Amino acid sequence: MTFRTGGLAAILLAGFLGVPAAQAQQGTDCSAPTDWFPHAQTPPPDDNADFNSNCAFHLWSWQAFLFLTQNDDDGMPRFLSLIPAQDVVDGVPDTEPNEVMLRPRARKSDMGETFDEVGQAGSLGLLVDQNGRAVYYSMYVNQTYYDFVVTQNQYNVPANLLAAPADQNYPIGSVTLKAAWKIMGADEDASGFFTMPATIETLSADAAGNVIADPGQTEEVTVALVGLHVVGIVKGHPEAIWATFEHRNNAPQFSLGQLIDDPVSSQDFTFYAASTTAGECNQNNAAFLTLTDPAAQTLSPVTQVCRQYPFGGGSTQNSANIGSLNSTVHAGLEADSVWRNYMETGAIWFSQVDALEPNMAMDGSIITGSVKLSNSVIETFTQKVRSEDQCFSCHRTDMVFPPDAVDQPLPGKNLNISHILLNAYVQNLEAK
Amino acid sequence: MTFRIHPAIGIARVGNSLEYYIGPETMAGMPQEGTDLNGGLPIRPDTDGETITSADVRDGAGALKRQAARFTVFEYDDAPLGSFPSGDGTPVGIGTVLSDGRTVTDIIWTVHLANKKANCWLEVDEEGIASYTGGGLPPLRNPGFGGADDPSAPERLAKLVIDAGPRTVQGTGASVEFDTATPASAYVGGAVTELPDYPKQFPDTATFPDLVCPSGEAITTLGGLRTDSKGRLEVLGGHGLACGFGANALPLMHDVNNDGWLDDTSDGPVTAVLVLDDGSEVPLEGSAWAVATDPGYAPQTLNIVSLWDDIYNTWIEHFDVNPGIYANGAYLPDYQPDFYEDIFPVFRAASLQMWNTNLPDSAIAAHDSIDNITPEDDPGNRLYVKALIRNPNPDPDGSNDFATGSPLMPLSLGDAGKAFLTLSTSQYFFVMQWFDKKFTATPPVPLGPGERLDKVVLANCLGGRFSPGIDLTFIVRDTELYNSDWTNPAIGPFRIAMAPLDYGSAQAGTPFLGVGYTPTRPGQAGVEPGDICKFMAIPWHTDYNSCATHLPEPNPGGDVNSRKDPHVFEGINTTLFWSWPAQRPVAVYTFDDLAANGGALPRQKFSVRGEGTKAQPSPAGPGPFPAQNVGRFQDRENILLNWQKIGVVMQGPAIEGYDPSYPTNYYLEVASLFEDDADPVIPWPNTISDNPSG
Repeated sequence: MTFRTGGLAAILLAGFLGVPAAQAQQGTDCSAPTDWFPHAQTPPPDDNADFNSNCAFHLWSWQAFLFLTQNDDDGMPRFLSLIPAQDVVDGVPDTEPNEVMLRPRARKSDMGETFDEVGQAGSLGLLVDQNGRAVYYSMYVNQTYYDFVVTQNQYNVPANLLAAPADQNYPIGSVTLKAAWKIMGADEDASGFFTMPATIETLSADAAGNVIADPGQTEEVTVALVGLHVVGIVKGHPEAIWATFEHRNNAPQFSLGQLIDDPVSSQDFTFYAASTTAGECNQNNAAFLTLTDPAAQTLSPVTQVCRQYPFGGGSTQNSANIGSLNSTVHAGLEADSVWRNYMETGAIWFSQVDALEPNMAMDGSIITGSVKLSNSVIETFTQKVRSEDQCFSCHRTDMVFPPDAVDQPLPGKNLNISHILLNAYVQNLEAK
Repeated sequence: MTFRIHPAIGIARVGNSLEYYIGPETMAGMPQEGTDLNGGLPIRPDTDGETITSADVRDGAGALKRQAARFTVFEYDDAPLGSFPSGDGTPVGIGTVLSDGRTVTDIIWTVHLANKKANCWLEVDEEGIASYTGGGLPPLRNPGFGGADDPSAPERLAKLVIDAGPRTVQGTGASVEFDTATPASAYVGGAVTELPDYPKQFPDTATFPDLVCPSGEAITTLGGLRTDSKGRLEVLGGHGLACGFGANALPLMHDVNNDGWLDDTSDGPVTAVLVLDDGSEVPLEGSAWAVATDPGYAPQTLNIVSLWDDIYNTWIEHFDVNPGIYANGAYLPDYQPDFYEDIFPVFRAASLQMWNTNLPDSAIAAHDSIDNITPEDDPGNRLYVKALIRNPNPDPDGSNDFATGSPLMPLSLGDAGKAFLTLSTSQYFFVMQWFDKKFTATPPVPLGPGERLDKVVLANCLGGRFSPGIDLTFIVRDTELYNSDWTNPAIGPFRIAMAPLDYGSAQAGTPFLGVGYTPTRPGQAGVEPGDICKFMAIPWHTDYNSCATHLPEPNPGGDVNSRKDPHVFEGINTTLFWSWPAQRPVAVYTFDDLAANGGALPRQKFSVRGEGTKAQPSPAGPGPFPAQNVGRFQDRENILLNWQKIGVVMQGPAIEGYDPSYPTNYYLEVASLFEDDADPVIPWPNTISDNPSG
């Protein structure tokens, strides 16, 4: 991985949760290497390693997460100094790269979230926390990705992307991230979260009653990291390893034999009220979400979040490997490290090497790892949608149809797997 | 010189008004020369093509007008037909001078309408025509009625069949009713003959002492006949009535097969005799068929797979109706389909689905894109059909795409035994030929005017998924349904094999009609009046009500009731898909809401909404998921009382008061009489476990 550094004006590190490390799970030798610790010295993952086991992919995932959450020279987690995804659209680096505007969205569309990221939030559900506030999101790319897409090939220009070879892949080492942020209430206990000050676009209701982000209005808030997608291209895997991490207290997960009418947990979680039934979890609010108090920016109804598939499903070995890594990483981190409260939910990739092709089917015959992987606070509502319950449901190499340029669909390409680039295609066609 | 009646199959639609308009004679949603209005709009009576506006949907009292099926005689030459289309045909009316110089002075039309639904076999959802293959028969509806499980039992034939008998009409501006009061009449022995002894059969309290008609009106008519100023025939259906009998009629417990019920839909043959100025009368050798069925609530929304696509497919593959397309059991790789007739309708139909369904923006964008494909485009740059269209042909190893949902299209529910819909095999062949750049935009033989009527009337009806459907059902895939003598220019293709009807033998008190057509049985006597509609739902209302959205069946991930193990909904498809969205609108944009929103698309509403529609869990279905019941009446009896309140989806410029600055290609609901909204419409992918009301 290649990263660029950047500065941040303020640091607001939270207190610490003294959570004891869980014991490594039995039945796996997939453990965090000792040379990852202390966290300040975790080396970057080797994108050219031999990815020849399930464990190898999860090792890459966790190592990337640790490396990205290492404090950089400015004392902030490294991922915050990556390049905002909007710079890929604009084709120019932001002069103040860390002033990322956070936008609310939670729900994937059927064909790809790229369209949702361009302001068509009107028909979409939003993830609403227990305080009634929307969860916000930010996206980043690393220098390798940016240099390849913008500097070397200018694929952010629609004509250039149209002309790109269908089998062109992203270079090894390309990384994209998506972070989910909860707004901390005034009296909320922020200990246990990574928090920071942020500027958010506030919400309003349009004439049809849809809740939309209002680009003209902003609010200064403190946000806590609750989810992070880590997506990286490694040797033999142009489809990328799609890994995702969550705060451990986000939501309860469905247990074996969970009944629809039974409570999922007797405990409160950040996005779950104790004793909520499984059937009441992950309710899409797209059609009835209301901004009940514009001044307080509170929405109704609150979303009750559950994790449908622990570890994103997959084989028992896959789950065991993730569980073991979560435990051993937590054990290796400093006792006062806030990152002990974040866990790998899962990771998904292809079972075959260099198998990415334009217009390919990405079904059970080729996906492996956490084959039903969603982040409970990023893909909340689609966890239960069979055709959208894993990363490759939407991150595909099929044709893309821009909403405002009906005669310029983007043919199927390997590059289409990244929605950040598709955002550039769609937005820049619109701008034209 | 010879003659045929077109369309081969005409579609009338019920309404609670005495007034009517003429069924559309242009293809739903397709561009029409010289107007912004796309095809599919019904026509004002006694005009050649003057389309209706939103003001014509209901009569002055607010009742929903009926749709008449209009039939016209066409003249052809005597040469045997070799391939469809022939491009020939000249319309004939009263006053027309024929090619031999004689003038038509009158046309005597005979139509016979009946309804045999209650004496038919059960419609088995997951089987379709397979119920009848290999000598099989599903169980009878109303088993044991009159002490008999034999559909030919006299009491069943007398009481479970509604038979209005035949009626003749001739001249211009004439009318006759298929009611209890009007005597039956037919062209018998070279003359129009009144049949006072014809055993008309209508359900009344003499037949059924416990007859219950929720609307308060008994079924006393199946419709009527009119002639216009050119002597063309207009066939009208009933008024959307349904009556129950027997102790168990209420509550209505089923969507498709309700024992103890009758409705006033119908079907039957249409024949004609030309009267010429030399005094001769020319009975036409062939016949057409009239079907009276559900109202058309979205006449301009083209089905992805229409009834035409299904019927044409059957004729291509089994009757060699176009040997250039298909021969010796295979499609011919050098055939060049017509872009505008065979390919573009699939694209246009996809783009129209947004007006009747809860599609998300991304799907609408994709459909809009393919709607803009022209013959000049490189197919590979516009729609990679090989990865995006579900293949209707199983692989050689038996595997298939039928259970694969998104991203394969069409993404709506499939026919019997298939989770998802597929194009017909001929449609799929045409689209793949397009992708391989083997197509033409200038067909060597365009459709003749009568042939076009045959096509567009059926193209405006539902195909692909029946179970049982809206207009006609799976029997359209049965070769035994048709008259195979299509190369005879007096018969032509796509004709129902009409049974000979000897009206001279009719006797009072003895049912005239028998069991009639049974699917897949070779060597039958033919198809009788009432044999087409009998496979449809009884009453039709309950099936229309229920067929909004459903889970796929079979569910690709297993039974939703097995949700317990190992995780809730593990791998099970919980997403709701559309049954018959072009024919049975689910979610609509209302014109009033659009106007209130300044011309921008508003939030959608359910087409069937208002009091009694708020979703509840089904006692019998997979519970406790009320979301599977959105957009319909929760109590089936309510649809019998409220079907006529459902609004009609029409293109903006056909709507009275439509602001000319609004887009011309919006299709909006008008003339709904529902006052309340109910559950909100959640954009797809909505699931059965979403709380429909928040």
